[in-house]
Amino acid sequence: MITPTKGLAPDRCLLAVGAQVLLQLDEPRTVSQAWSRLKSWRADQAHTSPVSFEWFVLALDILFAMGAVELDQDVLVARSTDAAPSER
Amino acid sequence: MLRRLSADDARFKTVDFSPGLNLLVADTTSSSAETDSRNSAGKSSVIELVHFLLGAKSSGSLATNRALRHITFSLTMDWPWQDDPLEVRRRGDSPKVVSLSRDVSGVSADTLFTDDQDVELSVEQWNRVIERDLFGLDGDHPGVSGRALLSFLIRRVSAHGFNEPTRTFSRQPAAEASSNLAYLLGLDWQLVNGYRELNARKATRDQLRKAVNDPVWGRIVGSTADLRGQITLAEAQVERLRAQVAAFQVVPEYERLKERADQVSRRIKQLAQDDVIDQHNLEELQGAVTETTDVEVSYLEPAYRELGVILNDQVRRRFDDVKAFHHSVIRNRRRFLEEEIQELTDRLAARRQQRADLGEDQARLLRELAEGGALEALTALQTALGREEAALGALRHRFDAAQALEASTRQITAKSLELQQAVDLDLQERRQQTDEAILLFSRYAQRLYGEGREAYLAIEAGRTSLNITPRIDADDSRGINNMVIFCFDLTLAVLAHRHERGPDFLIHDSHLYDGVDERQVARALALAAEVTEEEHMQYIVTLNTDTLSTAAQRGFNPEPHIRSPRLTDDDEGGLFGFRFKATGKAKA
Repeated sequence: MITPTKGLAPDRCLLAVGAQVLLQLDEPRTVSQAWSRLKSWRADQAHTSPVSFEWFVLALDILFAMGAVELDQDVLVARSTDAAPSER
Repeated sequence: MLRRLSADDARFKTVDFSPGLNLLVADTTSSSAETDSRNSAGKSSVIELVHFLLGAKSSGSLATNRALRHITFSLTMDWPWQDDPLEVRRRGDSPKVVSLSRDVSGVSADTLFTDDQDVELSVEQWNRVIERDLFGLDGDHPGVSGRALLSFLIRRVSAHGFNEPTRTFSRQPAAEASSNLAYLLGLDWQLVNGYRELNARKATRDQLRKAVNDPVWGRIVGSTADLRGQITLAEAQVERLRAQVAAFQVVPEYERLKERADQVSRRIKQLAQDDVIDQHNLEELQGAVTETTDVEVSYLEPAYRELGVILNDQVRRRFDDVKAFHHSVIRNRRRFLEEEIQELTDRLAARRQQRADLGEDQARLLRELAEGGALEALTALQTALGREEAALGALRHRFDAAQALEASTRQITAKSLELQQAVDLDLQERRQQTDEAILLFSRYAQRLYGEGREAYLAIEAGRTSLNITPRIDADDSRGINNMVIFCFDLTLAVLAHRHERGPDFLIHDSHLYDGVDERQVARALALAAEVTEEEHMQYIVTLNTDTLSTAAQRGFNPEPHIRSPRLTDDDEGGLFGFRFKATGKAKA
């Protein structure tokens, strides 16, 4: 699910989708904007496998868990992981 | 009038004829053995040769005998409307042509100077000329032929011509003989010929009848009852096809339409599949919208803590933080889901519309396809119709044939009654002609047998032919019968010549006098001499010397009438001057 498997296309695994989301976050954007930009980007790149909103949220969750994005006043911001110190 | 019978063979005894009675005499010589007969002297050969020169068929004829075929025979005779006698020549080895010393055919000659030139005619042409000039038959005259007429004036032993007065060969159909006799007697031969035609029709009908009754061949025609049924079926079939052709609408570009209909149905199927997927997604989304409760995930943390080493490297956030993040992200998920639901719903609705449109399209296409057809289909239909119509036509022809066959029995019977009546009426109206013949015949008969004998010539319309019955009342001896033939032939010849329907000669073979009482022989010869002189005719008869001498004893003087040569039955005394082996039917 996170990495591609036999039943999961490489352009649809959560890591790939997460990378695609990161591409949209060159500027801080709202969730809606990120979602709609992802959809249009995927259409432009001819990534036809279905990505639902739920799936997009899961990708965001992973990015957040890895400390790649943060929600700052309801706006998604991409962070360099090196800059963010581990809380553990 | 015949003048001379000769040949280019030196041994042949040239026979000269003159007007009136001509006696050709054959002698018995001392060298004759008991087994010899005078038949080898050549008396009958004279008659055969005259026939041959007057256009008889060559097959089996005496002149085509191997010993004689190289000899050119010739007959010199007077020809109507010609001052000089005409010479006819014909050879056995080229029997298809006759050569004439002068062109009497009347056919326009190729050259202007045909005088004294030999003219070659085919035997058919020669026969036409004989029919025209000797018998006055011009143009078409079915049923009457010069050959048949000549056979009455020159009877042939080889054809059994002396068996019956009214036949010239033994199996001559009565109807055929009577047409020719009617012509010689001056009756309406064309009417009488109707008998011959009816007989021919009857024979044809009998043959057909036989064919129909044959189990195999009968199927070719069949019975009217069977055919009527078959025709009814075939007519129905033709009618059905014709209606189909009439109702047929040719659809242009039929193939393209069909292609399009296929496309539409494929598209409809595709749409239905897409709907199934979208419908499934929609249901899932709707489920997600209504799902509100968050499940307890506290067991996650202790479970993952065990794997802390692994997670520690990569995952920097605590579950709680992720959960908080998640919740804040999906705070508005209902809106997004609604959006997706809306989108799917719209898509489904659009598809429903599209499907409806396509369905309508498909229905229209299918209707067009069902109502009409391509041009090829129409052509095929028309071909089938043509075939059925031809079959029907054939059946109708067979029906007509079968009907004609069934009807013709009645028709022939009716026709023959009709004909009988017509001929009967015609005979009544021709009393003069029949009376002339009857009086002549009875005069001749009474000259032979005296006033006491009843002799008559009955001419009556029969069912199948004109019945001509010459009769001299007597004890049916062979002699009497022969004299009936003599009187009848003399009557025919005289009547035909008087009224320009026949030539001026009559020829009899010595066989006619076999078994005739010597008194009658004498009287017959005297009568012939008298009649030929009166009528300016010629009677040629071959006789044996003993017949002649007994006749002479009865007061007939033959001397003025005997023509050279006198034939004998020696090796060299016969007509041909040598002996040869007779072959085939014809006997020397």
